[in-house]
Amino acid sequence: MTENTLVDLLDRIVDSGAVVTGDVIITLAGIDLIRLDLRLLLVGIDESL
Amino acid sequence: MSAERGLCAYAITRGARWDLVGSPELRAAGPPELIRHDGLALVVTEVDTALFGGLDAEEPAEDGLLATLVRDHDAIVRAVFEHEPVLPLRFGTVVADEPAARRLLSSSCDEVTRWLDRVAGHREWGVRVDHGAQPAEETPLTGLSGADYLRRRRQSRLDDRQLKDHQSDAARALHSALVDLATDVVHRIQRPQTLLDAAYLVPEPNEDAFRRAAAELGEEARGRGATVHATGPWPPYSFTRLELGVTG
Repeated sequence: MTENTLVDLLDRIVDSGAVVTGDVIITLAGIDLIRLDLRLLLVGIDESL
Repeated sequence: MSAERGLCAYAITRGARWDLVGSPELRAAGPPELIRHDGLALVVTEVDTALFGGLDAEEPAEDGLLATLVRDHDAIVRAVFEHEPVLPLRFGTVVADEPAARRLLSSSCDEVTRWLDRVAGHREWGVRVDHGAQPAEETPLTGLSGADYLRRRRQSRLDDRQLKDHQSDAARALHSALVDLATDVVHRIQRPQTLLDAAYLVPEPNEDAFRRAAAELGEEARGRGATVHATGPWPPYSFTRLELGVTG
């Protein structure tokens, strides 16, 4: 199959993964916003990177 | 430990007595370590949480910070995946310290162990089929009467719909062949032109048959003008819809 591009990688990783909640977590400011922005961006672009 | 330090957590795996053999080459993160507890291990690197403050989704350039951190994340998850079943954690998961890491492992032990048993011996493959337009015909419009023009427009719209139907059929045939070879399937968020965007969790003995079916039926869809994009093998990233709540 084809070589993974950066778009494939972002598409795979940014929205996936088990979510950990609770007081063991250090909340990173803005990371959820980045996820959302990136999702919108990925839906809009093609393999142009 | 100062308030800005934390442990970036990438994945949970079985706490076997191995070190990360051939530790992956990382761009931003320090060397990964395993924190073991209750038969599980959390894969972490020590980070300055301010690092994530510079992230910006606007311009995901090849050499940008986001790309760098995401590549590190993938490299670490894959390094583990080569040895043991792995549960990837969400990108940007940072736990406070080692006691917090142990609490995470002990409170999620049963759920994670069941999950790891389920994905053991599997890899993820992705297939996306997008609707493709027919190659545009270069018809000169000069000399065409209004009625002819409208007739031609109507004809080409019909052709487009037929084409889309044919491509949808091909995507459905592809999906139904692939799903038969997979243990699980996840439909991913679709773009407007997407006919199929799915991730398949494929047991290793089925991989050859899966790749053959993807190649053959993918070619069929391409022949009808669709674009087909297959990726893999991946760690089971798309099958991680679980929340590990740590209380107390």
